[in-house]
Amino acid sequence: MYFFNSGNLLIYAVFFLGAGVVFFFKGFKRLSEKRLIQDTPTSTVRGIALGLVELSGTAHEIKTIKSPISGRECVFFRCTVERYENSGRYGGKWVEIDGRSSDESPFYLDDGTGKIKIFPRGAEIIMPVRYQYQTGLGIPPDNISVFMKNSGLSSNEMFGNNSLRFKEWYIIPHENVCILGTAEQKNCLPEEQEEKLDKGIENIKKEVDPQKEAIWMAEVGLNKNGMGSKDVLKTEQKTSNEPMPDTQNDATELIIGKGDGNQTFVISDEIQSQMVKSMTWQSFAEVFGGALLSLASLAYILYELHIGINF
Amino acid sequence: MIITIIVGAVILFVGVGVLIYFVTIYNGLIVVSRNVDKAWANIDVLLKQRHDEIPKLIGACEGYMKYERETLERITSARTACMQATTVGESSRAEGSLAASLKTLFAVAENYPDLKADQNFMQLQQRISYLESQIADRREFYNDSTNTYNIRIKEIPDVFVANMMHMQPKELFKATEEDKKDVDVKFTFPQ
Repeated sequence: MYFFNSGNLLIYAVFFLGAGVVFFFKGFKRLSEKRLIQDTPTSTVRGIALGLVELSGTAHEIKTIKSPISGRECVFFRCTVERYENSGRYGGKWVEIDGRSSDESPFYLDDGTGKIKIFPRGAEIIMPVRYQYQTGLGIPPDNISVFMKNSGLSSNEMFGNNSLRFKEWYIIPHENVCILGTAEQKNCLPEEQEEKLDKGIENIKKEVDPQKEAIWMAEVGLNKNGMGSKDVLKTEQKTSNEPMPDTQNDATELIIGKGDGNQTFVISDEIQSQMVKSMTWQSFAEVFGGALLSLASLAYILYELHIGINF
Repeated sequence: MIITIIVGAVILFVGVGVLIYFVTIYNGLIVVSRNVDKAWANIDVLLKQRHDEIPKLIGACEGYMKYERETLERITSARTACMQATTVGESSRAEGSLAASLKTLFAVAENYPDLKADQNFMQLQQRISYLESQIADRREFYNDSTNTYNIRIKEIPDVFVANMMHMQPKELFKATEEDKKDVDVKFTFPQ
């Protein structure tokens, strides 16, 4: 078969050689992450100090949100839609075509000594896929049909070789979570003020003027924090019927987030010992697996080149 | 030729692997060591806040507790001892003594209804009690950090790197005998 001719295999071997080296280094990175998790003792919310902290407790919603695919009530979700794309006659791969998350919606973590806001933007989520569905010849369930309709995904794509795969991860209220992140001060409005602000934003977004909404959305996107800027709010205040909260009265609050720079930020539904155990195996597999893959690929490349030279 | 290159690649992987592993251990040990220092500094911040509240508390009590001079003086001298402490052991003993004196003061205050009703005293009592709980949590965190550090520097393979870095075990924040005692309440006011 064409797939198994030596030219093709040589290309694959070069690819695997590179992939092996990447896995090898990734394994060490995971190992150092594992050590960091292992060596950071769990703090209490009451005794928390600024900097890298590990917390364990139950998740509680600030605002009730619904996961977009399964429609489950949750405090946090992430979902992806992948399409299977053929690469000629010799296989294919899953390509992500849509990804959403509630990264901008904070939630509370309560450990019995107090509660603290978690801002999940940029967090690595360590938990199994909670909902998965792959389209095929059968009729998709209602939630998938609705999601596809809302997302503008054509039902024609379900058939043939372009099947879609939907994956969702979420944290439900009162679920146990373990978090390794950075405790930092953040300017936050008091809860009731924030609620009022949200309602105001909703009202503004309900306005028929699509241009205004576009400006708003661009602003929210630029801020990268899910909150409208004070300047935009002031402009909108003049046109909105709803009285807006005074954003000058915001106070700093201790929150958990990714922090400045490339800090470790992990949210998991597993307890620390389970997380460490699975990371140990992963790092072991990546380091040794990566090295073996590279060596085997190198051996094959050299063998092929040797034969080529002899010819 | 092929075998030589493969053997060379194996040696390269092993060499790079050992080097990265050494760096991982070294950095890990630095992290745990700094964690202990940071945990101690975080306790210190709260201890200082508590020390700042004590003169205000004594000021609020003095007017009402004329016959409890001994209790108030004990708190003042315990506070001074805390501020002079330099090592974890000294600080642990002095803080234990101060916490016990404060417990006694709050227990004795129960017998002074006017003092108990004083808004200023109530606020200070709440603030100091909250600080006490925070200090207790951070002490526990400090001990966890120290314990992790002490285990790490004795574990294989970390012990080899720790010995090269001359790392020594660190002291835990222990509860003093005074901490464990029940509150000793003596009423000295005249019958």
